[in-house]
Amino acid sequence: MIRLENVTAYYKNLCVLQDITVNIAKGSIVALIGPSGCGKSTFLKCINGLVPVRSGRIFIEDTEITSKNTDLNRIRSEVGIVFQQFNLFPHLTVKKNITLAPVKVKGMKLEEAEDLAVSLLKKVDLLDKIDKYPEQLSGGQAQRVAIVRSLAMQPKVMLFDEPTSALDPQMTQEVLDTIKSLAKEGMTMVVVTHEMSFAYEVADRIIYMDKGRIKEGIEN
Amino acid sequence: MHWEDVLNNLGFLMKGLGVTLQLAVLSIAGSLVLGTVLGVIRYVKIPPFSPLAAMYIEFVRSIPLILFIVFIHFGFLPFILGTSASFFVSACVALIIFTSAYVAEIVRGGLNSIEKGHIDAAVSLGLTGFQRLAYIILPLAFARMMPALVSQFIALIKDTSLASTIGLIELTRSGEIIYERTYHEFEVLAFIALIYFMICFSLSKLSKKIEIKI
Ligand SMILES: Nc1ncnc2c1ncn2[C@@H]1O[C@H](COP(=O)(O)OP(=O)(O)OP(=O)(O)O)[C@@H](O)[C@H]1O
Ligand SMILES: [Mg+2]
Repeated sequence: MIRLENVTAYYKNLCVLQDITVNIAKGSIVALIGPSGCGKSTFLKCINGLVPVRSGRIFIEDTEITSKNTDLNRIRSEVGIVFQQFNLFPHLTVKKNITLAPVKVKGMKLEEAEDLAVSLLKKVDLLDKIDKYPEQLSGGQAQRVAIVRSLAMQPKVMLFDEPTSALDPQMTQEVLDTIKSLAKEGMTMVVVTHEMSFAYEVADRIIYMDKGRIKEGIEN
Repeated sequence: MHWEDVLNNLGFLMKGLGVTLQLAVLSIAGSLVLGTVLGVIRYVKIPPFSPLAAMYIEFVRSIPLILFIVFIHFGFLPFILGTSASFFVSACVALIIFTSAYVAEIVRGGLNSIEKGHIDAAVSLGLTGFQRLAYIILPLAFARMMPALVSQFIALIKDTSLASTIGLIELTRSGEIIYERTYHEFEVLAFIALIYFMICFSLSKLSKKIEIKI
């Protein structure tokens, strides 16, 4: 599903990913752990083209996203990413946050996108927040809306970058439960996390990174 | 006190006020559009255009407005149009060119202030560069730029009075015409100052209301 072949990435002169080769199977759940600054976020950002690779190749299904001819925006719409800081658009309501990309990027009809938003919000138990602005949500609610925003693009893969590290324990649980329910539905996921118990409970595989290299992959 | 000077010439002063308001509204609209375009060009860094926009901004900001008004009326517009332009058109063009340079810098600052995280989120949803600007970055930036833009436009409203130097009969020039006849400057000038104050103050209040909404 996701294949990285000898991927190397730099920020200016700083080498952040060194010769990474990984294969992530369809429907599997990978937890990515490692010390701060080891390149976990960069790893995720390479997979949806937010950070360009210096060398090596990345495939999503059979499309090489590192090829010059690939329409990156189309790939991005198939790879959802959820950030530590939620990054909901503060000037848009929850509904607008969710429907904007499906309508503008995928050309979905507005009513269709709104129906989708309603059904996804129901799943995470936040339908009552549909007309609220992001600042009116708690951290846990905002993160679940961010997850819904990604899901509304009907992605093939979901990437999570420390989705709970800005949250207190109770809100962390809400978000982890949402991710678990996605796992049950068979979504392919890569989750950067410090929640070791969560990693052991949910992940099929735990990848340990250090200084831009993959140290080991533990089959869970 | 000779407030009757004001009362007797109220109609004349109101006509001047009308010209001032028209000039202000058109110049605000024009400089907002031109300034936004220039600010966006500087922000997205398109090779030949961005440095040109930067030069335009530096050049315009280094010259006093009053010289612009005179130069545009007596030199630039007659040269471009082949015939002289009206006082009103000249003043409007000068105010738009002048203010757009400041608006461009405000817009660029606002665009640069948008957090990387919001841009990453927009990129990762697959929005194109243009869509990101139109739906996310510009609206967020404008909400933040409101206070700076409003001060700039308040300055512009007061600067419309400089159009009196080339002979446009706007509010300030109407006042001058009255006291050149009556010699009672104080009453007329005080009245005019009060009108400028009321316009600028209500704009400032109005913008506070909009800010809260966003
Ligand atoms: N935009 C950037 N420009 C330059 N250097 C960067 C940039 N983003 C990250 N880095 C550097 O790249 C390295 C890897 O960063 P990355 O964010 O991928 O680490 P991380 O494993 O996600 O860390 P954390 O656990 O703290 O989130 C770090 O040394 C970081 O300082
Ligand atoms: Mg990180």
